[in-house]
Amino acid sequence: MPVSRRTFLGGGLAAAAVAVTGTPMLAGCASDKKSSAAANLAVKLPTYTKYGEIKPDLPGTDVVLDGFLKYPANPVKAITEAPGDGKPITFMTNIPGAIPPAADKNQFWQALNQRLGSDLQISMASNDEYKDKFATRVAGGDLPDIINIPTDTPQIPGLVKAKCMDLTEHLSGDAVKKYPFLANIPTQYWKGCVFNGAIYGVPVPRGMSRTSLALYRADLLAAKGIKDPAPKSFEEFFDLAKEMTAAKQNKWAWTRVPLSTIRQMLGVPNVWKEEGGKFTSMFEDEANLEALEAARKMVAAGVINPDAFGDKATARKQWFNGGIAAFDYDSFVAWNQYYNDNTAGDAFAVNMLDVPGFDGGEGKPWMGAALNNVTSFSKDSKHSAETLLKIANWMAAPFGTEEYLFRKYGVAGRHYTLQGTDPVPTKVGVVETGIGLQYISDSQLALYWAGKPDVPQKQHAIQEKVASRLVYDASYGLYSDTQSKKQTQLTKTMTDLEGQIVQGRKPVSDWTAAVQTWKSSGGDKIRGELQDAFAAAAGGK
Amino acid sequence: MLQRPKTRPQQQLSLGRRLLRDRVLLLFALPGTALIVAFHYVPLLGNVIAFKDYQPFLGIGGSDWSGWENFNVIFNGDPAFLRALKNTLILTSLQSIFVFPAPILLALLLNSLFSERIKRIAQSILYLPHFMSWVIVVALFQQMLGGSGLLNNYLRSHDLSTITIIGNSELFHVLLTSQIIWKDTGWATILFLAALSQIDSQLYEAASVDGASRMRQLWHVTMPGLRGIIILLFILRLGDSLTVGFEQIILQQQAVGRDVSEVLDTYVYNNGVIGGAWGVAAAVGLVKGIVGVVLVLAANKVAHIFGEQGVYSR
Repeated sequence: MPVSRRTFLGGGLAAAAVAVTGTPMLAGCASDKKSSAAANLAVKLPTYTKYGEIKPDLPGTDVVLDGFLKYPANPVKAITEAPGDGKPITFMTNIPGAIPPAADKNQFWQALNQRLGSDLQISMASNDEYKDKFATRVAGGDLPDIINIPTDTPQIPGLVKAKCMDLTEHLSGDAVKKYPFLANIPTQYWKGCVFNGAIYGVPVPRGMSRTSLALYRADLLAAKGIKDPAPKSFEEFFDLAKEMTAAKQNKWAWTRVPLSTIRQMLGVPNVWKEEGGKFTSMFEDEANLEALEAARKMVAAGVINPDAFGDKATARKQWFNGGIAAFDYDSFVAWNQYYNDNTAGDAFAVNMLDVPGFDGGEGKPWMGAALNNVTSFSKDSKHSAETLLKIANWMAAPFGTEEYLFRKYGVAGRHYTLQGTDPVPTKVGVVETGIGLQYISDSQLALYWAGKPDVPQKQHAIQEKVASRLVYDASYGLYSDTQSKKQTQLTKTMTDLEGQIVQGRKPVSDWTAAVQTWKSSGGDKIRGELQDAFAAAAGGK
Repeated sequence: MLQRPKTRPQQQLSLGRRLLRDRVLLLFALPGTALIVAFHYVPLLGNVIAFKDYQPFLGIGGSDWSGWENFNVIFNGDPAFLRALKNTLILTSLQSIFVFPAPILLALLLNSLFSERIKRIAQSILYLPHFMSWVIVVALFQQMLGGSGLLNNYLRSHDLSTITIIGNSELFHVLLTSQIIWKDTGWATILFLAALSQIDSQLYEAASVDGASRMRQLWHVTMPGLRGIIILLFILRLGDSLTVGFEQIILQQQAVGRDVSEVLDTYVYNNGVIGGAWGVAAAVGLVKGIVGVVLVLAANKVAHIFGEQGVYSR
């Protein structure tokens, strides 16, 4: 085990502590970081081999997702042998919906264990609480075999180095072909799983499915005589919101301030923009002032639910589902989720608005974050990396396979009823299947809604419409130590201010000063590190 | 606590004899002591991370020592820390002035009720909010006073202008204080009511024979009877005066922003558990704890000077 300089700088006691625990110290200085960027680049990413048995009805592209109008008849059972090794496997994850019934009362879970050949023991927390749980479990040294690591976890490289298996030899290059469904995940997603010059995890790919735009309740708009709305500028967008507001009846157009949509109208960067090797943060763009002014106007006009500033996702979803609000800013995943949670009956219909330019023309929508999370395997796990990868592979079986049908919909009869070839979920199905399997690994989302072919059609249409205009986050796959440590706090300060400005409690002019503070308290350092990492990556090509 | 007579018997019992004599009592004390040691004193050792560049994945032993570096946010006056300190002190003063006396007044009020029946009913109703968790209380306030809550809906439907109470950063400190009063005042009356019942009713009779009005009786009979318990509770309150409510604040932090809502406890949580700066968070938490201890010791000293017993004697 190499002893780094930090060990000596840290003084005798630390050295003693290291000697006792045998834990390697983290590389912490600038030159190490550069070499780590180069080392990350040197990693041969898993070879992408498309699993091409199933032909989509609405073929996608590199960006646009495949769409299906019906579930393929006679789904293929793609994996013959059970992936488990007979011993229980533990997994820790967040759960987006309600916490499902425990394994002994959950027939889906029981059937799953049967199929996996190992009992999958899942420790769950709601989305809001997962960060706490994660931090505590790491600090307690109590990690499960399979770990869902959110992408904004501080210090991921140090964490995975100390606690997780290096999977490079199993996944790099052609080695991944042993796991055909992991190989079916496009290469770009694996970029986010590389740390310290090694592959430390399996991606849970999102990207396009996470791209967020303005969702609207087509049925509510139709009731007001508005069909296929397509605002051409901010003014029209604003007018539409005014039209859908009836505060006296407790109805507001928006579930939250559509600040992101307005920013996209103005061409504000998606997190980080790169131009000639220079990075610019979304916060720095001058257009933010205009965006904040516009958002402030919307709040003042009362078109946004007055309780929107608590920012509770659950409340937001209830308002949209309950018809208290007609617009919400969210993704394709959320679009599906809305149909899942639908309480409004058959008339319920959701669609998505394209984003126009602020004064006309076309807006610049943001490509969704590439990964939901990285899934790593604990070093202390009693299972072999092969077993755990086989489990992940099983979880990534794509749309059209029998595994996918079971994984997402459960058992016919109990969890869904077949309408033709479409598995229409029952209430029990929705509740019991939500055990977070999608966070072990996942195939790319396929656009499909059982029994409602118009849903994937609409989704596919809007994706095709925006695909060429998507703006990408230039920092994806580049590691900045400062970003990893300070990102949460820095961003929070800015969103706090955004909230106060749009509510009219602070002047828009405060923004400029806050950006200066943001720069000096870490923003500039992050920029520098990202530029270095980018240069190292560019130089390595 | 058993009070030993000052003059001890001449022959001192040996330690062994005393242990043997008190063995049953000691046995009773054992589980409690073990719990306190295991769950209060042992975890205190974890405070050592205030002096380390602690990384949870390396463990306490594996993390680097960093000396006083983590305390820099305090000594150099980091703006985020100062903001948390300022809000904490504002809330501490608000709570000392408004929350602390509230149960005393309520207890006096309850005590003056003649009908035992009404008193019991009133007490039950007043105790109830204490048993609700903060999530429920916050949701209740939201439903009543929120932007689309009962009050504002009423105002809107009668074409009156609405008032922003929840989510209004200017009113946030007042809102927090009101919520605490609503939730805990009733429950806190219990100790004062007990103390009130201890006051000899003959004293009141004697006072009224001497022509003392109700107000004078309150001042000369009731208040002296309550003084001991008030001082005791005030000292205890000082000990965690910098603890101004964590769950309650974190639940409502989003809407008003951290400028008015960040207090020391949320600072520790946001930086440590969420932000990953465990060392800094521990340092701030440690200083907060030390300040609490100093306040209790000082207040106790003052109580002794004024001839009160305080939390402990000697």
